[in-house]
Amino acid sequence: MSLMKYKDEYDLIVGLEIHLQLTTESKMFCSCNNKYFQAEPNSYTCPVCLGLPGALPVPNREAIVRTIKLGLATDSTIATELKFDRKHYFYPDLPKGYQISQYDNPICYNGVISILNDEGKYDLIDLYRIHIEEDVAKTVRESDNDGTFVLIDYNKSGVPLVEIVTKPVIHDAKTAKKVCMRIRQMARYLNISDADMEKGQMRCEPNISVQRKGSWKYADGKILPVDNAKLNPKVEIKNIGSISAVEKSIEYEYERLIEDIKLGKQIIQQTRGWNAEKGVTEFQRSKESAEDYRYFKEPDIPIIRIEQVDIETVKSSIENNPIDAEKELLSKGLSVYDVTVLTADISDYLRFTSFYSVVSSELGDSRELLKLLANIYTGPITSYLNEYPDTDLVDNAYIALFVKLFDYTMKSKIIVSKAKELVTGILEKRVLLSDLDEIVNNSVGFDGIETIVSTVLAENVKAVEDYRAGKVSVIGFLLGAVMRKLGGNGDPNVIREIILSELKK
Amino acid sequence: MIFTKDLMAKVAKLSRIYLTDEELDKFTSQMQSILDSVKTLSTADASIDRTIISKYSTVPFASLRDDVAKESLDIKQVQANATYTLGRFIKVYGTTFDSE
Repeated sequence: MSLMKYKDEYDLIVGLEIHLQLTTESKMFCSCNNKYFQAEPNSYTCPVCLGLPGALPVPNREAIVRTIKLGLATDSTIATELKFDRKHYFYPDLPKGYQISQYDNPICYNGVISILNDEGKYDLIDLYRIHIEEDVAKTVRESDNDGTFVLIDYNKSGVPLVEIVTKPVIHDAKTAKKVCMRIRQMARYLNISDADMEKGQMRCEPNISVQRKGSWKYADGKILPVDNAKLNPKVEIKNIGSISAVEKSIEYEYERLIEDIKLGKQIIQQTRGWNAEKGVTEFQRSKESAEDYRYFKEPDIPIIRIEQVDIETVKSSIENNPIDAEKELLSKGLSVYDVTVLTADISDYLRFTSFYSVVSSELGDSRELLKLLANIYTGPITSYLNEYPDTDLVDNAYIALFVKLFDYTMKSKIIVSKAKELVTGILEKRVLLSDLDEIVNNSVGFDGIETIVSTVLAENVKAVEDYRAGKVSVIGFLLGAVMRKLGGNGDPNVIREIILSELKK
Repeated sequence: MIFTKDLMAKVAKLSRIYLTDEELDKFTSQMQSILDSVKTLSTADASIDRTIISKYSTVPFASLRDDVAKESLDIKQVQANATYTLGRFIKVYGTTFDSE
């Protein structure tokens, strides 16, 4: 059954709620150790995170600093007064009976997530808010002869969490995935969270609805009906364990909702869980509304004043931001592809910039060198690093060889494809300095290729005439002839450019 | 506000408390009297100078707790008030619900 027809009738509307655990030393409202991963159950707990009566929460300044960093990186407005609220609900993972969160005055608001598109410009996804709260305990359901029970480990209770909420401005699953990737990347660049979804350090929860085309409009961050149309309620998806599952779960839910509408089923507001094994969402519960949570101000925490000087201090402590990294590399002439690959992961970006810095200190800073190193880094170096991630590219054992190799390449004594082969040889310690000189003496540089191209054109007058008569496909034939004379040892793209250049003379 | 029996049933459901029909009637009237008392309180003049609140009820950001991890409770203390335990876990019987 094809749903394409119905997809033409209905729009997909997605907003994202993303939680990040902050990697502080201590928890959000108490001094228990925050590094709970693989710790013994209930080893990092105290009266505050166990919710014992009379225990008072004391906010962790560093957790707030990290949230402000994220707010600044997303161009959010930072609140000047920080207020915490109690969000009430009853589950075994929440011993107080309420979660300390933020309701009507989030610490950051009106920000944007900027995503680099293929044209080198930024698509903007509006954010409602970023707020701070505490995580809940870990529970495991089991049963024995006496009945069903849960085992509770309170180590995770009170871990600092930030929640990032986008406006419902996403209309395809791929963009939702990109937003999640950008937030994960930001968290790592800002060094506020490891954002590992498999460890539960980052959780993405899409809110999805499908609306008949023309029945809705977007205004003031909300989806509103047009001409009193009845809008379909939204569905929230939880238990998403990977970034790719964000995309898959949205695609699945979009189809499921359309199919239910088509079958005349009533759509209810609900929370569904993603079952990665089956590739489906499953009903969990009908969603409670904000008023059911009976929010009120947390009376045990006074309002915290955040002055402009505090914000400036946080701003000055931000060392890396993916958007700044992208803009810097784009401004130096790198392609969107190279920039995207080089900045995707902060460790790669820092390793590349350090590598470039060392090489350029010897060969001089230039766009040509940057492009060459980007080309080589995203190719053989990345392949090698995938296998040997602890490799130190600026190690003395390598750097003199790299400098000489890139010097020869910049001077056209070694073609790029050969340089790529030699990089792998250097990393595998198969190539010595003397080998490079010998290779240069025996290899064909640009001048040599130009000579061979001229020879081939002279030997194939008919093909040249055909080309000039408009038969451009003969380029492939001429390219093959040159490659044969080079013994296959040449960069086809470079040779193609030289042939075209010679043909225009 | 009229606090109805249906509303009482909803509050009980949110609190995961099972109430009998008699208890629903009993607590509905008690909740109504609490709300009536709050309504009476709300008629009192509570106007306060906002600047005074701001000056005396807020704390500066810089004065917040430093991010230093300290020792936690030992497992005997953690489990002291638990009816059931299993190893280092706290064990709770009964139907439970998904987390938020």
